[in-house]
Amino acid sequence: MARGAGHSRWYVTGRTLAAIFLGYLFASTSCLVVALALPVDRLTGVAIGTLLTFLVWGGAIMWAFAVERTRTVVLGLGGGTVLSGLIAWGLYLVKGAA
Amino acid sequence: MNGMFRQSMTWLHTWSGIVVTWLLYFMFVTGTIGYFDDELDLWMTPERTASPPLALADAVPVAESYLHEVGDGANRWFIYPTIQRSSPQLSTFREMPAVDGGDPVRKRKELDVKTGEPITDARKTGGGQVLYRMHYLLHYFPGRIGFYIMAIVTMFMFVGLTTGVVAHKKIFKDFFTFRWAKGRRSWLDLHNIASVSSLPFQLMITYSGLLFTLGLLWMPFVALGGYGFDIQRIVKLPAEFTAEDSVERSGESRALVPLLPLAEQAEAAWGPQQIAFIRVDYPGDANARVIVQQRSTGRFSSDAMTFDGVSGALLGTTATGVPNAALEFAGLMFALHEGGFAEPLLRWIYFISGLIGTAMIATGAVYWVEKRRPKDPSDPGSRGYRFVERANVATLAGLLTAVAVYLLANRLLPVGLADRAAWEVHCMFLAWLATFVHAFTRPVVRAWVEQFWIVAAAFFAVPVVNVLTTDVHLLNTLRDGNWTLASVDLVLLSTGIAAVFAARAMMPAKERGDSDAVAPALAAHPGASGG
Repeated sequence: MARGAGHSRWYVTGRTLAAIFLGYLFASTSCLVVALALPVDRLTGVAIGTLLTFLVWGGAIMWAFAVERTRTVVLGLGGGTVLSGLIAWGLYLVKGAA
Repeated sequence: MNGMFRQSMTWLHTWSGIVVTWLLYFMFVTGTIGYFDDELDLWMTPERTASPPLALADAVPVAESYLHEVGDGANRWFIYPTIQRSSPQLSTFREMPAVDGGDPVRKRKELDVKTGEPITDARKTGGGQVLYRMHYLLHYFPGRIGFYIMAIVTMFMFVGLTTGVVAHKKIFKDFFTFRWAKGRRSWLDLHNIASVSSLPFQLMITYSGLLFTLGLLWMPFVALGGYGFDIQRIVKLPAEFTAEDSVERSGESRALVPLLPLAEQAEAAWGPQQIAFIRVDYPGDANARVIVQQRSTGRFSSDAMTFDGVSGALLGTTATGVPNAALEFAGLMFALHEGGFAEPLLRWIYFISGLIGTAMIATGAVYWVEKRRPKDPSDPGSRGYRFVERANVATLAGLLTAVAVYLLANRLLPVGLADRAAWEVHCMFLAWLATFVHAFTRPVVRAWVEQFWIVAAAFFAVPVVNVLTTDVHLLNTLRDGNWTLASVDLVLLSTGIAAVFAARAMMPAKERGDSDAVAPALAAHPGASGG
């Protein structure tokens, strides 16, 4: 967001949607990885992961407005979501249902 | 921290703040009042009085025989034998099973200890609870819509706080800077002082607000994914989170054990007046359970004793123990948010922290407008600017009027009116609507000044109407040393006085009669000359 005040409407809309929705998805999947990866029982892992989601979401929103290009936001949060989603899937397959 | 990052965070702070500012203000006003919900309940039912402390032997059998009489086959009974802020009389609660696919029927009744009959002569009112519930559910929205709106508002608040911290170059120096009567700089300084002085409270109240039901209602994917999207499993999670030991109804009838000896067993362990409630699951069933819960006043976690509801055998203690540290942390955040443990002094600190949070939001909203005020006094500004300017008047001042009208409605609506409690709330929102009409039709400076005079008049009116319509007015409550009720009237009067100061501060200098002082909001205001 290097241009200071006076952002175009589409620029702000795109940034906002990416921050809120991709940020939400990324927070969910990345904290799911934490929940599954921690060497604790599933209930504890899920509790810790859920406590963290709001911090990660908030951080993702801040980051989304701090970087220069909207494309970075979409690729970063979108890619992070896909990657952590795959890792979580793998972990779930390895560790099995609780 | 580089300047670009701070600049973008300032931008995010500004816009995430202004988008939700009016709902956030609503949340803080109603939530702050909510710290005195029980006291307001009592104030709004002047027919009720607080009972002196009761001995268990006087209280429990009365409630027990009443529930046996009316609550046969219930899912649950609750008896509140200790007189405390949430139960100023011996109280009972029962949940009867749902009939024909409807909702379970829940009834709360206060009992006269002498006659054993329910106390029914109190007027119908939403009380302080309705205001308290509005702070996270809004009103008039079906289902969970209000909850989700407020959850999103809370997330905006969270981002607003973290970006607000980053936006400050010199957070410590800013705190000690106040430039009086310097137009928008003064509003920014006030915003900074309110925010920095109460930052720990604001961070706690916001993060803990996000964590209700551990966020499962709107942040469910960690739990869903962690349990392989097994919905049947997920719905059981909240009970697991609180380690609630639930039983099922067996269908076989057995007589319920007498409750007094069980309560006395708990009192022997905890001391007198320490029982929060006695809960009975499936009274009269072979699987009945009795749980005696300790009060949490003055502490975060409290003890509980679980008994077999047929034999009366002690099955275990501390039913509230949670299974792990993460859930204990969430429970701690919940306790901090609710402040149920807070005794009077701490409760007042909660209330004041809430007021500072309210001031933080209000000053931020005014600063947003002041910063964007067109340089040319004849320029009314963009459509969006004018909307924010007017909505600020109608919310920051108008909502306060609406709250006073809610209390006035409690005193003035006919006691026999059908749907009386609902009409109290209708009066509140109709009054708020009227302040919007006023704010959008008057010149903006006049709107500010007039609305604060209206706030003052409304808040002064409540204690006066109280004198005219009840016996529990300030003259009597002060004489009797009834500080619970007297405090409500005193806070209302103080709010009225504060509104007088606000109205004067919003007045153009020449009207106020000061020659050199310039009101912070109105320096070079386009509407100042009567517009």
